[in-house]
Amino acid sequence: MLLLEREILGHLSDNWTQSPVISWANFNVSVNYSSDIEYLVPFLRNLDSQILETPASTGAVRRDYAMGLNLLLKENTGTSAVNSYVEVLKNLFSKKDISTANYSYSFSPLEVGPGFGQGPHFEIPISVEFYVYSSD
Amino acid sequence: MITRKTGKSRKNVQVDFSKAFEGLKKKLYSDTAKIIQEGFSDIVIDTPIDTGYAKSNWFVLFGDSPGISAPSKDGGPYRSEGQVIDDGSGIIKILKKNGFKEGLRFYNPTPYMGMLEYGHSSQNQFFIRRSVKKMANKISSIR
Repeated sequence: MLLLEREILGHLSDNWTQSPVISWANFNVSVNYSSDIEYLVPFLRNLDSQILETPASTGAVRRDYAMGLNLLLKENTGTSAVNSYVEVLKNLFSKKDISTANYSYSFSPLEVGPGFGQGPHFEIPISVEFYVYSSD
Repeated sequence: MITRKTGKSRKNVQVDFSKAFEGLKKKLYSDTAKIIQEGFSDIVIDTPIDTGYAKSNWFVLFGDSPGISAPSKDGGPYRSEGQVIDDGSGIIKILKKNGFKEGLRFYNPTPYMGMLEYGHSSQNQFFIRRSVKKMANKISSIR
């Protein structure tokens, strides 16, 4: 995993204070999902990486990512909890410029999709895109 | 080719750019069609597979044409990956020939497509978004 990916996940980990437990299942941590526990499931997908200058070996690189922040909620609990968690995620990421130790990230607006049943939970797909410039 | 005609008085010069623009247009259409074809192929290839049903349901449609209902999920056999890509490429070629006067869209009526694209347990989250981003970046860098 790239350092820029680790740092933005670290930012999430440091700033998420809500009751859903962060599931790191997409980052080589096994999770036995329990129907009694609610989860926030982050995942990162590199959308594209472009070298912006020549010579390529020293050119700046722009990387575009989609970050999933899906909520796995207990079934039949309504939408009020969703709204409060979404509000927290919006405040953390939506349209934000975030700086970590080595990188600056520019985020798009947060998007919330229609939910669906998934195993013992109801899943709310939440996503946000960001781009970051780096030298490597 | 740019052609120039000079009149006898040498004050009357006509420059014809039309052939040059025609050539540019053809190249632009050709480059764009290639990028769109690659994007469509990427989406089809990247569609997570269980039975192959979702992968078989990709279509390229003209902008305003009505969507297609999802065929029944009856165990198959479904259209193969190669067939889906070939069918889509055929439509993209028609649009290219017409100079992209009509919009096009990639369409998939599979009811659980949202779970495949956004679900945390999907094999390949954001596979559509990734292809679209790559297409957009390539098209914006056509020169």
